[in-house]
Amino acid sequence: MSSHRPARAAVLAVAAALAVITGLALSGCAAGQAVQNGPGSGDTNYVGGAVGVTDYRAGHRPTAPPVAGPALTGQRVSLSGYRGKVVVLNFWASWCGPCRSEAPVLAQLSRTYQGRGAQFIGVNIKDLGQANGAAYERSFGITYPSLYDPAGQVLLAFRDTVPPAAIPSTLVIDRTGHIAARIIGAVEYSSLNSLLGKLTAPAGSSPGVSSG
Amino acid sequence: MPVNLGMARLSDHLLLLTVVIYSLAMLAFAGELAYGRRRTGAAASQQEPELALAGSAAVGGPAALRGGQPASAGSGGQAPPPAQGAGGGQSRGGAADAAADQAVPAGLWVRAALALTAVGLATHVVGIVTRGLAAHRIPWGNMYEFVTAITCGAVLVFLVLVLRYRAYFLGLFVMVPVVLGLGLCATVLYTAAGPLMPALHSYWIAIHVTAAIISTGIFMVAATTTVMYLFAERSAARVAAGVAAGGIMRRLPEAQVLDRLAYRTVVFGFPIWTFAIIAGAIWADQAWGRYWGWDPKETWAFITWVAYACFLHARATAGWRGRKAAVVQLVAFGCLIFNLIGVNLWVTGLHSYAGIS
Amino acid sequence: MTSARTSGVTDPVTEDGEDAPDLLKDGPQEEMAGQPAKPFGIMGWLRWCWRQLTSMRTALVLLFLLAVASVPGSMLPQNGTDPVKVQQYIGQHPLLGPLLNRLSFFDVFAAPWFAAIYLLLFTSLAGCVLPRAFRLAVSAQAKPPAAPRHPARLPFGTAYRTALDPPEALAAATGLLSGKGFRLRAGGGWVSAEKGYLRETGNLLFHIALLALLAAIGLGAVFGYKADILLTEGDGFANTVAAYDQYHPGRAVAPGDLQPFTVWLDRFDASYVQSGPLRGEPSSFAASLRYQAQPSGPMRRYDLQVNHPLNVDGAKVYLIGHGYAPQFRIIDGHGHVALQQAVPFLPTGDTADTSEGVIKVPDAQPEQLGFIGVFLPTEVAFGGQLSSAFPAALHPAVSLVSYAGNLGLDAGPPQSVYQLQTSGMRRLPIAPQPLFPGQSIKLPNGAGTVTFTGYRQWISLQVTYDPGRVPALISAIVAIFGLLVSFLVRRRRLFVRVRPAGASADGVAGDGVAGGGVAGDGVAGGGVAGGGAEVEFGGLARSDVAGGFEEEFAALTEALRAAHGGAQPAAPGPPVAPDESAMTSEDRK
Repeated sequence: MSSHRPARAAVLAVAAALAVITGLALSGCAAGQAVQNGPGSGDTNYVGGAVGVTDYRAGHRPTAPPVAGPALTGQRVSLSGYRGKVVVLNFWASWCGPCRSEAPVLAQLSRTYQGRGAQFIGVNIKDLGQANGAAYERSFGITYPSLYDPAGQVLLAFRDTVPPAAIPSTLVIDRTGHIAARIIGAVEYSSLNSLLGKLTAPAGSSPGVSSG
Repeated sequence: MPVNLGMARLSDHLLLLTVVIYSLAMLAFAGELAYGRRRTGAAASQQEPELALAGSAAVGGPAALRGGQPASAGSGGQAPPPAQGAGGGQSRGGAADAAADQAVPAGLWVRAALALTAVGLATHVVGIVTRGLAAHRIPWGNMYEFVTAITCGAVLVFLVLVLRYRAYFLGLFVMVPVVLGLGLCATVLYTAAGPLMPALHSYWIAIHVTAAIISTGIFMVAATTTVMYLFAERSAARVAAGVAAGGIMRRLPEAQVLDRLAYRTVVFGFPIWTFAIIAGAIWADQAWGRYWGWDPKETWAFITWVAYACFLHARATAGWRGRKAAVVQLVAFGCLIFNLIGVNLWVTGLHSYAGIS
Repeated sequence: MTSARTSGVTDPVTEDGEDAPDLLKDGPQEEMAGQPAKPFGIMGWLRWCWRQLTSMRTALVLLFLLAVASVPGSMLPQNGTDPVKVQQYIGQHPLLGPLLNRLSFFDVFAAPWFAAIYLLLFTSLAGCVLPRAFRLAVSAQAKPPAAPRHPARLPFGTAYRTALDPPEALAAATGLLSGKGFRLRAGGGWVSAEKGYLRETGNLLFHIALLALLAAIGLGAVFGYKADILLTEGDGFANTVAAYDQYHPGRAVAPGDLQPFTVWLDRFDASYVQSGPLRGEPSSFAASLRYQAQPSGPMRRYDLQVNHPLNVDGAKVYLIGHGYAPQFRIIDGHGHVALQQAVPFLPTGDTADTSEGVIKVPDAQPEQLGFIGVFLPTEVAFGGQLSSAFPAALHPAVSLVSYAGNLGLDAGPPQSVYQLQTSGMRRLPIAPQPLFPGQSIKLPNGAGTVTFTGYRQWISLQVTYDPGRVPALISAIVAIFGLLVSFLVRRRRLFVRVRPAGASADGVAGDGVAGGGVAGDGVAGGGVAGGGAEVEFGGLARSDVAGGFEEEFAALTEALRAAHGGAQPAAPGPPVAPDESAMTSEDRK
């Protein structure tokens, strides 16, 4: 008889503990279990993230961090030097298939928007040696500069804002230096085109520059 | 540093000598069973008093309380010899397990067997130590060295039990797997002394592997005792049914004694095995980046742990005591042996340090 | 009395289960004792289910199932450790393979049925242990039960006479026992003492620590991450998602949560056993690293070895493997440098570190080029066969098979960097020959030149962050501690009953001399005229695995006798069955 009260409290305690344990166990269950030790013959050597476009509305855009470094061509490139222009920051590697498939798109759009206040900057990551990147630029006729960043330190700079979680990734930074969009995966011509059209349009005028 | 070949050869010779000495000890234990002095069997009735718990008296432990008399532990039913008041008032100790054994001093055979065992243990230990000196490292880095060390641990545990509980009836049965194990070492498992793989260069080898070796030795003795228990229990059942007990069975203590001894041994080894697993997890965290990765050896160590936990819980469940629990323990020991040998030889994982190609 | 206990929850965390006598049971009575029989409603069924789940038998079954369920996880290849082997297995077993795959047998420890087993087990455990913990907390100050009528008839018991008066004798006994740390309860002419409560505490601590361990594992799985990367000498990486080769985050880990460090590999040294029976076995590995914990922080050095991970802000970097990366400079048909890098080759698994790899040159003009190569650290030629004799790079050579055409890279789907898709390529007609550092081969039709310029070594690193690691360790240590306490601490009760000497107490001394040969004065029940008391002292212990209650009881007996001024032997208590009814009726008081 006198055991009812402690028994009830005990039941509540058990229920609470179980809820916590079950929650943790179930949520931890399927995640992160499968890890291969070391490189294996199935390796693509990069992390493919969820493909998609994330837009940030004006007024809710995170500030782009400062980015600077040597380009493949040797000159120094800095993001702040392009304030006032729309910057398309594209992360790529020469051996990465989806990067190669989007390269022509980027090359074309970079030429289209050259005179319209947009600057393309590449970040060449995970390539050992600058020769490979230079060959890549040659292959696709890429004329815009690409930072040489084999360790991916530029990626670090973005971790607090909009981290590019895979390669290829592209960040579109507006004229005021705020991140307007992030594209993970290969860029599609139409979506980047319309995005650039909106961002490069003079304030107040309607977007809708047709692809040229 | 290069291997000291002279020491390595000395180690090999000593271990071969150990096998010989243990075999002789085994023969002496067998002799004791065959020709040794009989126990006063009837007084060794081990029925636990109904209201008491599984008696707490040590198996054949110090009998200061009872002054050497076979204390009766009967409750109703039994017909123990009358308790002899021996000065200083009447007192009763707990269920006397092998108390009757104390009435029989250790015979010549037993003394010879124990002496041989002790000598064999000495050569065994020196053999292991010289192996370590030869290779300039702790001498458990591959399967040959593991099994050598485990058999040494088992003999050590056996001698401890002899000292504490006068359990020399275990002698023959413990020596069998020990001799077999050492024989296996000398033939199939043998590898020359050499340096450790880089992955094993850690002070954790002294902690994790040592604990595993000790607990395996303990579990080996427990398993042997359990096998004896199963035989004794079956023999007791046959006696109850009217069939006379076989020769060896009459010489061994009652089934309850063996059961309790096996239980105590497992209880002693279980925390050490738990510690070995934890130490292994800590080392794995240092070396491989995660403290638990379901590597086959880790998995089987876990299975073994769960199996022994099953055994401990089974003993607490009415209806599972006795034979069923003994079977559970033997299954658990089987898992342990598979963990030690099977996984190293047949399953590849991060733990493949058998040294055998 | 014990029958009520057998119906439901047994005593799961002690050894004796239902066999234990009431004298050592404590805690409130089972609710079900004395309940009227009534048909089960929903609540009744739920309660029955709960009782079944938390019973010892279920725990046994679940433990057994847990062990059995782990077996396939060690025998079948698992996706977590070797996905390639899994695919091979499925390929080799066309009927069984896909079925096992469906049932998650290649991912046993993440399978739902495995989770069901351990979750049920831990539920059963929690449902049993937590109420007991509550009961322990509540009854932590509970007193031992009343002394039985004849403590001398307990498994450990003794009786004697003392010259002290009963009150004095009792006071002496009480003082002695309390001085030894027993918890006491006194009554008319008796005192009960108990010690060893820690045993239950240890037991519960152990089981609760197991629950905490599970929680810690879950914590790590949710908030931790693992990542792999291969680094060549001279290369580095920043701890970001996109920089990794493989990345496995917990559910709650966002890319911004990764610690912002950068690591560079300056050089890697491996040494091998030069002679003796273990020639060729690795003897040591060391990687010289430089790292920055923050992008603008100071650069530090660290020597990474197999058992010495680098710890940066809680993330640990481990050295997992190593290999060779031969360097090539490839000039394409137009005279441009199309590729110049060290290309990591993977060891094939032989003892001399023969390595295989693929070189893809997608930017070669006019045609893309591809090569499949074999790197031999110490090349020797045996009758036309190339092989490596020693894992150190004493005589490095590379042998290439060349292809030209379409690598398939530009079309999109990701390819393995270690495999060449030759479907769109044609093999170039060059006789394969070993290249030594500095040597080149000219590709036919002016397709270019390939120069083997040297080699570097690479290491594979694993970065793990596991916030549950330390809690898991603490839980494990607490578990062992609880286990030891529960095994080493004995729970025991002692009872002292004092009667005036010669009192015609029921059953003391007078009865049952039968069966007792008596030493001493043989006075059967007759009292000694005037003063004195008869003392009965008995004890109970759980089957203590540590042994030793005998000695303790003997020592206490001696001490008690000494406290009572040296006693004369009383007429012995009978060595027959204790008065069972008397004992249990005493208990009910």
